[in-house]
Amino acid sequence: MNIDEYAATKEQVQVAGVDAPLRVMIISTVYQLKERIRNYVRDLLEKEGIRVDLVFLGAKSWEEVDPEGWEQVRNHPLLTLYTLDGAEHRHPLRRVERVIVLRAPEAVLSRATRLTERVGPLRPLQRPAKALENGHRRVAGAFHSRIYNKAYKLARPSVLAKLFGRRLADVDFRTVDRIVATDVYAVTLGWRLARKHPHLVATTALDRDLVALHEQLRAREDS
Amino acid sequence: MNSSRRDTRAPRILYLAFYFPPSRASGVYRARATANHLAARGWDVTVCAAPMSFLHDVIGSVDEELASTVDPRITVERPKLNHFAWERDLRKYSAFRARMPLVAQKLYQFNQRTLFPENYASWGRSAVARGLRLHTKRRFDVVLATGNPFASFAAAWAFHRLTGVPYVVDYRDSWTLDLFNDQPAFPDDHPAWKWERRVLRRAAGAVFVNEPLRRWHAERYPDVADRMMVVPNGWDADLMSPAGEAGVDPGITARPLRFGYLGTLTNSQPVEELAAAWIRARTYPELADAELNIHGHLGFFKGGRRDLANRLGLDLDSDGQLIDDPTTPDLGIHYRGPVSKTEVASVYEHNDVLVFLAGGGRYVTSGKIFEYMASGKPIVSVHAPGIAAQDVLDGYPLWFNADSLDVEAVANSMVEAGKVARGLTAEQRAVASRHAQGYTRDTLLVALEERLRAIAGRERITVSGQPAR
Repeated sequence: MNIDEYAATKEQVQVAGVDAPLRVMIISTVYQLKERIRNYVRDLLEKEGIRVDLVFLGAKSWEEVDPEGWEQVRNHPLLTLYTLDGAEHRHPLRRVERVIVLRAPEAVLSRATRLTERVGPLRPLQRPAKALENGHRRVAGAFHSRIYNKAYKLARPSVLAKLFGRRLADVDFRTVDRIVATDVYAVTLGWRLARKHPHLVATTALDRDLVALHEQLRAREDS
Repeated sequence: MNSSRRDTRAPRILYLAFYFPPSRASGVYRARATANHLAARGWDVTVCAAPMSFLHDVIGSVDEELASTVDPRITVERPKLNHFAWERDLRKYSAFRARMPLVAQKLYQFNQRTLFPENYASWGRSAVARGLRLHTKRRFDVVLATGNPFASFAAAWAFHRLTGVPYVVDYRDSWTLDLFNDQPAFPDDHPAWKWERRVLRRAAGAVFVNEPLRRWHAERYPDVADRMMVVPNGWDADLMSPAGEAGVDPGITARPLRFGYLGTLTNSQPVEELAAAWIRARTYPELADAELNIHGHLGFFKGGRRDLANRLGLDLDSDGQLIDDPTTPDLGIHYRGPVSKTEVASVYEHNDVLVFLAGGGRYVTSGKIFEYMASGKPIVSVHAPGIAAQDVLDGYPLWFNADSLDVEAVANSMVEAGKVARGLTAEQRAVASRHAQGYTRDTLLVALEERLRAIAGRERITVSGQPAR
């Protein structure tokens, strides 16, 4: 990725107005939102009255672990949701692996097995064909979890940054004050947004009392 | 090196003390006192301490007044530290870490596993490099390393391996023993054990803050037991005038009593028990309208202040100021904020009874107890029974110990201490503070200084089979 692509323009440097309500973008890339993140979002919305943009994989990542909490928070007027809704699963890096390692060999082998069931002279090969099919499933599974997933994890921050970047294309970042990357895979996106919008506070800390904190930061900038 | 020339110049020591003024970490006072003591006795002292960026950006506070109490003859070096583990600002991430965060994290963890298992390892490496540079200009005679962090021990070991300069390790804190559970702090296969064995095997001495800690280590490392010694923490006579000089407050009979805790409040302390016992004690007429003043920092780091305040029943805003909510009942608990070490004497004088709040078990002494005793005021214990601090307090005439964390029992000792505080005489204070006279830092550091001098002079250390005391 070319760094210059994310260099800020003069207009983007414009800091959000002092009177504008505080707006925080929280990025989480985990499949199940941890309690501390859920509590953080709720505290900002309910206790501190701050606008929150939650950038996450999808509603399931909250709903599955905390259905009640999700029901209470999902329609909160200060909350905006940005989700991938399976876009990561459909990314070429994942799709190609699935086709090459799993689907294509699986299709060939299952067709071969069916042939050995239907064609008389091939019946003696039925057992070896099934064994081959099962063997492929095991090897493909092992490859996926032990090799591919480990390698993919290394590239995942960049993949997610690109996918989420498209989802966030319409966001007016001049009205956003803070970006919070809540896990290691969210770092790349947070860092890129910080480079593109220099007025943003970009952090991994789940700080509270943000209104007072940002007032202090503004006062420090003014002085 | 020519031995006669060596004898004429001041012995030179490299002191590896990560927490050193203006840090206000609880362990800093021992390091300050040790460096000052050595400088006053003619040593040429060079301290390797934490970089200022760590104190400002990570810990978030410094005590500049304390820095002014460091002997000007002491040279302070501040080797670099990698902030990887503490950095929260994404803008300060390197391009590599920002683009490949998982790879960067795994590399960092690999370093921790294979090189040294501590976030401060990079500081240890920088300290060795800095030490070598200084050593080539003028030779060090001995290295003293204080932990935590224990990267200083590893640095002393590495410096010794590279230069042959002997080293002494000062266990200001415990490394492999969890003081709060009295259990080993790491699983058996953790690299910390290998490092501790390695460090102790070649150390010319190992210093502990109390006898139970020395014994625990001597049992695990019997080959090194004859090089182990105890140097308790003590109190700083240069920062605190002895009790008795101020006499007693004549107005104490006419006003509500003031109880005080001074020190950093941490999550390991029985804070809830203190608050509950206090509320109970306040129902007694002797403690009607009494106040409990909390002086010091809430936690060591910027985060977690509010949690600690909440455990005490207090609400703090983001500036650490008390939120005055008229709808909540007045518990008489007041958070008074941080106190510079140079102002502690006035805090002790202001309060009528001192609350000794300590976490952990039988290996815990707590440096604060020596100051408490020097104040000559009644002391109420709020800690688990049997902690090492009791050995120090034993014999102090104004000590009120419930020997339990039972709320009713602690409340009763608070009431008893309050009664005694009301009728306290100047003579009683003077008698009480005499108990503390044997625990001034300078008195306690004499043995360590002698040991270091013997090591630096290459004198033969008498090995009696008994620990030096």
